[in-house]
Amino acid sequence: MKTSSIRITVVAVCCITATSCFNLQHVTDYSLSALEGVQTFENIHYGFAQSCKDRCVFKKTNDFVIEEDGCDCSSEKKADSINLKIFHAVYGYFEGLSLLSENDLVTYKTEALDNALTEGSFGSIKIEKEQVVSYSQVAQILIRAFGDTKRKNKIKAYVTEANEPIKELLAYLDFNLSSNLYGKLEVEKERNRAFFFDITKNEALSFFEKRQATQEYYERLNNIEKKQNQLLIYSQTLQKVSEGHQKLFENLETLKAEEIKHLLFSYANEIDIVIIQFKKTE
Amino acid sequence: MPRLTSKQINELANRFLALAQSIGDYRMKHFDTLTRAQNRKIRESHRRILIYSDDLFTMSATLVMADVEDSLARIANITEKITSTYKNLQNVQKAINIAAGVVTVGASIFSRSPLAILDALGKLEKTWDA
Repeated sequence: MKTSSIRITVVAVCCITATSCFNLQHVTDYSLSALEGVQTFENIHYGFAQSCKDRCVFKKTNDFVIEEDGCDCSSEKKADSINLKIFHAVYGYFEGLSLLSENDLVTYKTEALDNALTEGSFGSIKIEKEQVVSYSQVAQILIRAFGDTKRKNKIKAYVTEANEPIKELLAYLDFNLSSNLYGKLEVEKERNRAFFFDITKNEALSFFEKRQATQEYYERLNNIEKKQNQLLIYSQTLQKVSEGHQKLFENLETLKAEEIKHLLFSYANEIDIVIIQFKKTE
Repeated sequence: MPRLTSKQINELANRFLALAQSIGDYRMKHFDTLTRAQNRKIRESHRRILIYSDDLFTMSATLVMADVEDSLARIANITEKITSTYKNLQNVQKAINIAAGVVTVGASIFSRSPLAILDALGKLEKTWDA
């Protein structure tokens, strides 16, 4: 094959496959942000079982009861295990999506092919050095284009299939944390309010003792509100992740389009901002 | 009779909480005018209603499982497929290496031809779809 023919072939292949070479960086960026956002769940360090234990210890303290255990928190542990299941499912999905959309996944090393094809004369066949390089280039372009097309089609299929269930899982994880667990913290606030109010009205206590009790009340209140703040920020994260996935789903046919790129980049940025807010609460 | 959903139980929990907060507000506001017995009675009701609210929030959280079971199964299935696709795309590198190896084996043979490279690429289709 003449050198000029090889060059024409390479150019033709490049033109044909140019539309097939997809940069899915925006999908990767969104997926990685979603992954990091979802993962902040592990930094909440509070759950239903802990809430149960806190309530139990508070009661024992007020009743002057000293005993090793005796707190039945089996229902709360079950609630925590459900949240963990949902978290793992969501995390696994976004981890997979980020790995699959990573551009390096379809960047293959073809040096082995270079080595397999060396210049020289083989009977009536003569391979020139330029031909070795060109065939490798063609191979790389073809593999990349082929891989990218396969990858894009698979991502489309997975995102389509996953959109409804992933949004549901994110919504229920959000519900359990920002509504149910948050609600339990509100209950604890109200319990503390009533208890410490009674202490301040106890005429048998000194001014100093009442002041100590008031101080403890505000410390407890502060701790509760810190936890609630974390839950609300995490809730925002989950909502942003859900919205981003919906946008990705709605614009699957235009994965290359500038608009969807900007949209996903902006969702990734919004999630990152919320993550920073969350880290400040730690 | 249909069972209550997690959202309905959560709604109940919030109503009990609001009720407890109102009772708490009332007791604190009128503390000085209530008798000891009245105060004790209202305090006890307040305490019980808070327990109901607390337990209902937990119950709502456990009932979520019934709502998400189907979605959990679907996402697990999709994640497995993603992992499989990912591994297949990684295997392509192996396929390239194997293809190169196949060509290299023929090094000692006359037919060490450029066409062998294109043939090896054709085998990749089968690797991806495997």
